[in-house]
Formats: sequence, structure tokens, C-alpha cells
Amino acid sequence: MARHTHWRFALPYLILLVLIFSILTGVIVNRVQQEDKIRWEDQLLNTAHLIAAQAQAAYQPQPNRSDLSELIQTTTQQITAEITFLDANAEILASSLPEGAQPDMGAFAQAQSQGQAAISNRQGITTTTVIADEGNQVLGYITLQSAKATYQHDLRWIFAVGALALLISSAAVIGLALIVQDRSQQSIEKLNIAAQQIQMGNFTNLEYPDSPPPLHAFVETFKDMAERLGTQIDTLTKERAKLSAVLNQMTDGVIIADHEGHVQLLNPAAGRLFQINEKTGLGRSVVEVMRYHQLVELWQEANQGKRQSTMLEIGPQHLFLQVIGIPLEISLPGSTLLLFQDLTQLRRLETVRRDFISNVSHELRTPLASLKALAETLQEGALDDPPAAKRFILRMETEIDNLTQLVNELLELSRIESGKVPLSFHRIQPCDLLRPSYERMVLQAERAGLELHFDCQPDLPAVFADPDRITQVLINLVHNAIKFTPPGGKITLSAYREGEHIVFFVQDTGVGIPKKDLSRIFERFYKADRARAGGGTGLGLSIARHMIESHGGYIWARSEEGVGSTLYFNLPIA
Amino acid sequence: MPRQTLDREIHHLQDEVLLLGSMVEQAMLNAIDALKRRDFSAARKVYRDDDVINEKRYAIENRVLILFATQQPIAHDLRFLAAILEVITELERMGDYAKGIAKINILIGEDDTVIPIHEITRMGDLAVGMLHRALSAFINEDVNMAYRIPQEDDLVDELFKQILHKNVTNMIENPGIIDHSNYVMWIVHNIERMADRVTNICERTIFIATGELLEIDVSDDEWLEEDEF
Repeated sequence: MARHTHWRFALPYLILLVLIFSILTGVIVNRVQQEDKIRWEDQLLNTAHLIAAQAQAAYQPQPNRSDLSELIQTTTQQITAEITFLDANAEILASSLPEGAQPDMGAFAQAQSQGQAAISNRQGITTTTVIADEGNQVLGYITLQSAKATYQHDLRWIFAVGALALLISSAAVIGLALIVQDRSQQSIEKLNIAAQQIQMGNFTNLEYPDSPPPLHAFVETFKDMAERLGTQIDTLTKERAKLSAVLNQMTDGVIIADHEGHVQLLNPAAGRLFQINEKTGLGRSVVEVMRYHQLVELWQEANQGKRQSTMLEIGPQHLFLQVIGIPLEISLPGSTLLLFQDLTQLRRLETVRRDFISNVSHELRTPLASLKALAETLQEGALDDPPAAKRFILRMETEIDNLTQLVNELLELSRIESGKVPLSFHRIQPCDLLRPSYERMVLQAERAGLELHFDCQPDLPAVFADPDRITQVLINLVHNAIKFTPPGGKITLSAYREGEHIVFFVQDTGVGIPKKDLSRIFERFYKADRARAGGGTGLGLSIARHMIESHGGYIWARSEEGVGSTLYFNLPIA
Repeated sequence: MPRQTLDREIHHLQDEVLLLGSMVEQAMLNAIDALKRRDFSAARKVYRDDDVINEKRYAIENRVLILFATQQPIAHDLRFLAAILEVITELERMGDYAKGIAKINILIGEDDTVIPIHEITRMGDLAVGMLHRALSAFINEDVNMAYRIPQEDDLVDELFKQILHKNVTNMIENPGIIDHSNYVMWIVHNIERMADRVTNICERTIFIATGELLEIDVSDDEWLEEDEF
């Protein structure tokens, strides 16, 4: 390949060289021939005049052929020309030409008519001159003819020198071409390697050739271009990485679809939302990806150039989405951006809040309604019946107690939830937490016809807790157990070690909690059995959960309907 | 060129089937939600919107028939187009079930009826979820998925039986509520039938992919015949 290009590079120079040398040699040869001819003609003419002077005697009085022949013989030994003597009537008298050969008479006619010497150049060089006596009477003519062979030797030499010069300069041209070509070839190859590196995305540590002037500017531009490209691609890559990090990490779903409705971009959040792999989703239709006709309709509207925003609930998962469709007129003409914000959790919280308010209202209304009824009954005459009035007042007191408890617990819960309850942590033995609860509840249990059993191993490691708060939780749990255990049952209050935690539990032989309610009993106002819960506020377990969680523990329940329930909570070992 | 037209049309039909499916899913969810909230205007909307579902079904059918006539599809394409005809029929019937539930909602009216709405919602969610995935399997020709989905029907059947038994017990205890309990039966029956029809879609999916028509065996309560709701 390189060799081939060498030749291609040298060939025009070679052709030019040959052309120049040919023209030059041609001109020189022509010039030498001209010179030669003129010199030879002069020489021949002079010789003719000399011989004519010598032959003058042999023509007088009558031309003497033998004298002339003798003259020819002596003369031809000294000159290389054929001599012919003619008489005044152009009859051949003697000739050095072979027998029967006709002399070249080219210059004869001119010489005869002008009466002086003439030269002709027809076959060789011929001169004819006049032989005359003293009275200028024409005695005869002498013709000398010579072939051109005499200057051929000269020309061969010129050709030889020319050819040699051509050869040397050709060799020089080729050599020079090779050197020049090699250098530029190397430069180009280096540039090519650099270009290949750029093609592969490598913009640093590129090697550039030390190029000769014609390539130099190009190499500089190339260098500059590579640097700029490198910076630009670097910037773009970083931008892209940032954008894709945002897209990948954001919790909102993003889809970009083209005008025909093919998905061009799908972020992981959108993939999760529509349960489709981001890779397989690309290029598919929006219908295939989103699968909900309401969303497809929204896309169609946005695709018409109208910005859309809506909130809707979709699918059996009852996802609540805020969807925004934005036509991307400038940045990506024809494409539409779809944003999906999953508000399911928010809506759930909103529902919880609404339920809470409605529950609180309900819980407040019940005692208030009975108070109102009792007050009215008293007003309407019961006051006049002191025993009945006393009974009513007692009932009113109970209702007011219930209300007070409810309001207190609500306040307590709100304080715990907002983290405003100061906890004073101490290292304390689990038994020292269980015992006070037991002592405070044992009487109440006995009154309900239940056996409260206290079982604590004194060697359990201490926990880090606020004793008052934990005792309160335990009392609460025992209180619940008493409420849901029929007379004759048994309630156990105990603790054991499990890993780095102490697990406290209150076990009863009560009615148990239905499976479907088990996970919900720690919710505010949740009452598994509304009829039986009676006077409870439905906040006790919710408060207990918050309390345990703020201790870094966890509360849970196990239960079998008709057999009994066990409520557990654990606290980390100090 | 004709090949491209056929491919494009088939893609378009796929999208249309998915849209029809989505409308049916939403109709069923809306019908149950209206029942939950005792929202009669929402129920009436579900009832009315069934017409849109029917129209879309006929539009798809028409397009398939035009394709049959103009493109003469063969082999896989033919199976797929034939399956679309079957699937849209199933979808339309499912739409009718949603309409039926909306109608019952209106019929019950303001009467105080105990509706096991928790279980009904759960059943509806399960059936709609099955349909959603069955249509994915249908479009993607995912045979494995098509085999798996009918197994989920057991959950729906389980809930169906639970509600049924409870309902029968209620009726025996309190013959005065027989009318309304009957309505509840129709509601759950409609959902149960919907799940069964999802199985048919799965069978069709297997048919397109393999060319085999087989009956996926799921425990089916056939004691209730097609209803007029």
C-alpha cells in the first residue's frame, strides 16, 4: 500500500522530468545538427573550390579524363566525399562513384544557371561549383557529395549524456519522493491512529505527529477539535449521568412518548408503577406500557398539544395517581412527557385523618348524648325524685369520667406522637417493671374473678427504659386482658430474654382476637369487638405502641379465637 | 407492503384490545366502588358506559373482519386475529357483569342490606388483577403466565364459597332478607364468572403461541347458569 502510494506520488514528477529532458535533448541535438551542417557545407564548398583550382589545368585546352581520374584518386585519399567532374554540357568526365552510379545533381542546376557554387541538401550534402578559365569561360563543373554519417557520432554522445542525466535525476526524484512521502505517510498514519482513538471515545493522551508545514495547520486544527470534542462529550456525559441519576432515583414515574405513541423513555419508577421492565417497555406503544385507558386518553389530549393534569384511581391495587401530560414542543418536538405521582400513601393518610376525626367526634358524641339525655330527664322532673336523681347524677359522673379519660388519652397520644413526652431513661431490672404493674392490678383481677399470675426470673439483664411509662403500658395490657377474659380465666405477666432484647408479655385465656383484626388492633380507635369493648376509648394499644416504639422496641400480638391472646413487646438490653 | 400493513394493523388491534380490557377493568372496579359507597349515580354511569364497551367491541370485530377479507392472514396471524375475536367477546361479557353489579346496586337502593363489601372488593380486585395480567400474557404471548393465572381463580372461588355459605346461613336465620341476599349472590357470582372468563383468555393465549386448544382445569362452580343481569 505504502509502496503503491510512493509510486503514485513520484510518477507525475517522473513524467515531467522525462518531458523536460526529451525537449532539452531534442533542442540540443537540433542545434548541433544545424551547426554541423553549416560547418560541413562550408568545408565541402572550400574543398570544391580547391579541387576546382587544381583541375583547371586538366580542362585546358580539352578536358583530359585520365588527369581528372588521377586527381580524383589522389584527392579521395584525403577527403571523405565523392567527387564527380562534369564538362560544360554536364557530361560526366570522371567520378569516384562506383561504375554506373549517378551523382547527386541537386545543386547542379542552380550552379549552372547562376554560374557560381551552389549547395543542395537532398540526400546528403552536395556542392557543385564551376570550373572556369581566366576569361571566366565555363570549362566544366565539379560535384562533391557527402553523406550525413559524418556527425552521427556526436549525436549519440548527446543522447547518452541526456539519458544518464535523466536517470540520475529520476533516481533523485524517486528518492526524494520516498523520503517526503514516508514522512507524510507517518504523519497521516499517526493522525489516523489518533482519529481511531477518538472514534473509540478516547480523547486523552493522543499522540500527534511532528508534522511538516503543510500538515502542521491540519494537525493543530485536529488537536483542537479532539480537545473540544473531548470536553463537550465529557460535559454531556456528566450531564447525562446527572439526569439519569435523577430519573432513576426519583419516586415519580416519567414516560416520554413520541407522536405515534411509542415510548421513548421510561424511568424505573414508571416501570414499577406499570409493572413493566424499563428495557422491554422502550419502543412499545403507550397503550401496552400504561394499560389504562384513562391514561391513554390523557396522553392523546397532551399529544394534541394541550397540557393535561388529572388525579385518578387505577387498577385493582387502587393506585391513586396525579398524572400530568406535557407536550414537549421545543425540546423534543412531537413528543409528550407524562409525569406520574403516586399519591396512594398520601390519600391513605388523608383517609386515616378523616377517619380519626370522625372517630373522635363519634366517641365524644356518645357520652355527650347520654349526658344531654340524663340532664333532660332531670329537668323534666326526675329532680323531684331524689333516689332517681341520685342515680342519674352517678350515671352522669361515669359519663364525664369516660369523657375525661378519652380527652386525656387523646392529649397523651398527641403528645407522644409529636414527640413531646419527656422520657427519663434508667437501667432497670425487668422484674422491677413487672412487679409494680402486678401489684396495682392484682386486686382488680381478683374482683373480676381472674387469677393474675406474676412470673419473673430475677437474673434477667437490665433494660434501658422509663419505668413509669413501661409500667403504664403493662397496666394497660393487663387491663385489656381483664376486660376480654371471662371469669375463671388466668392472666400471666412475664418476661424472657431473646437475643439483645427482653420480651415482656401479657397472656390471657380470653376470647381472643380475630385474625383479620390482629394487625389493626394498634390503630387508633380500632375496636375488634365493638360490643364487648364497652367503655374503652380504643386508644390504649395505640398509646402503648407509640410508647414502646419511642423506647426503640416493638409491640405485637398473637391470638387464637376462643383460646386467648398474648401481647408482647420487647425492649433493648441496656 | 401488505405485510407491513398487516403488522401495523395487528399492533393497532393489540392496543385496542388492551384499551377495551382497561375499560372493562375500570367498569368492574367502579361498579364495586359504587356499591361500596352506595353511590347510585356512579352505578348509573357504569350501567350507561357499558354501551361504550359494546361499541368498542364491535369496532374491533369489524376491523378484524376487514383484515380477514383484505389481507388473508395465515398461520400465527390468523390464530391471533381469531383469538382477538374470542377475547373481545369475553371482555364484552365481563363488561356486562360490571353492568349487572351496577344494576343490582340500583335495585337494592336505599334498603338496609348487609353486603359483605370487604370480601366483594377483595374478589373484584383479584379478578381485575387476573384480567390485567391475562391481557399482558395475551399480547406478549407469554405461555407460562397464561398457565399460572388460572390458578389464582382458586382464591376467587374460595371467597365466593365463603360469601355464599354465609349468605345461605343468613337467609336461613332471617328469611326476610332472602331478596337482598339473592342480590348479593348475583354480585359475587358475576365476579366469579369474570374470573372464569379470564381463564378462557389464558386458553386463547396458549392457542396463539402453540396452536393447541386446551381446557385449563379449574374448579368451576357451574351450578349457576348465565344470568340476565
